[in-house]
Amino acid sequence: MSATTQQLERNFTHRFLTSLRRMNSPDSKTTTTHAAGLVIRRRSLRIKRAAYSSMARAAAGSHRAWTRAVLSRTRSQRRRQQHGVRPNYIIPPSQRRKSVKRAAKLKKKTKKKSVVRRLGRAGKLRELVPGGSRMEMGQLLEETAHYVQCLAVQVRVMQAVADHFSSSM
Amino acid sequence: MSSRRSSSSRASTMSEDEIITDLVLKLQALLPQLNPRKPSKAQASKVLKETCSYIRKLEKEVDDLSGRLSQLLDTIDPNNQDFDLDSIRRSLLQI
Repeated sequence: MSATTQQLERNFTHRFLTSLRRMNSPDSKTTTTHAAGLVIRRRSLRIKRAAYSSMARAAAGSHRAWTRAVLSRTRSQRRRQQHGVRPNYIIPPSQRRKSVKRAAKLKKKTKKKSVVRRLGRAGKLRELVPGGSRMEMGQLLEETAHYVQCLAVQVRVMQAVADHFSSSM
Repeated sequence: MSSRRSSSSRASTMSEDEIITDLVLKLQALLPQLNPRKPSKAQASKVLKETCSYIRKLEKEVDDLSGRLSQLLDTIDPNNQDFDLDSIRRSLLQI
């Protein structure tokens, strides 16, 4: 493993564990066993967010397009989770079928053609790499290489942490 | 703004093949199980496809591990012992 990868691993591990430690403190959210599953599910989303933002910070902070995209994404996700999801726009049942049909048609029409034709061969890749839709081809491939590298480290560390926790029970 | 975007994507499409050929080697080095043959046009799209499925696989593992960690957090003691950075780092270096 190269020195920079080691440093990245160390940096990420430190940040990630710090966030995990914060999550371990007893929550005021709920104490009933009925909602325990919900607590675990909600926390897994927070853990996932913590993993991505820890990696974005450890990897490059604001110096890479994909890390900037990840950090802004996790920030808005956090805000959404705190403020709750807004209730769906209420449509009278008489108009509902029409508007649903219209929306589905529009979605089908615009999605596939525009992605494939406008973005060329790497359309799928642009969807996967954070911030990829805004990049030029050369930058996209460079960012992809870095993103893949960091993702692999992230998975390796999360695996090690999970193994460590499950073995020290 | 949309016209600017479409013209830039057209320009990048023209040199896309050269750029892909150059950086395909870089991606190949990162992807597991990929034959390092001479990068051709067909090879390049194969690499792109493999990269996409590799990214998807990694992101799914992040999801699964997040769920597993969430369950595990309930079971460990809230003391500093379990968050021992050194022991985790030691187990990392062994992998």
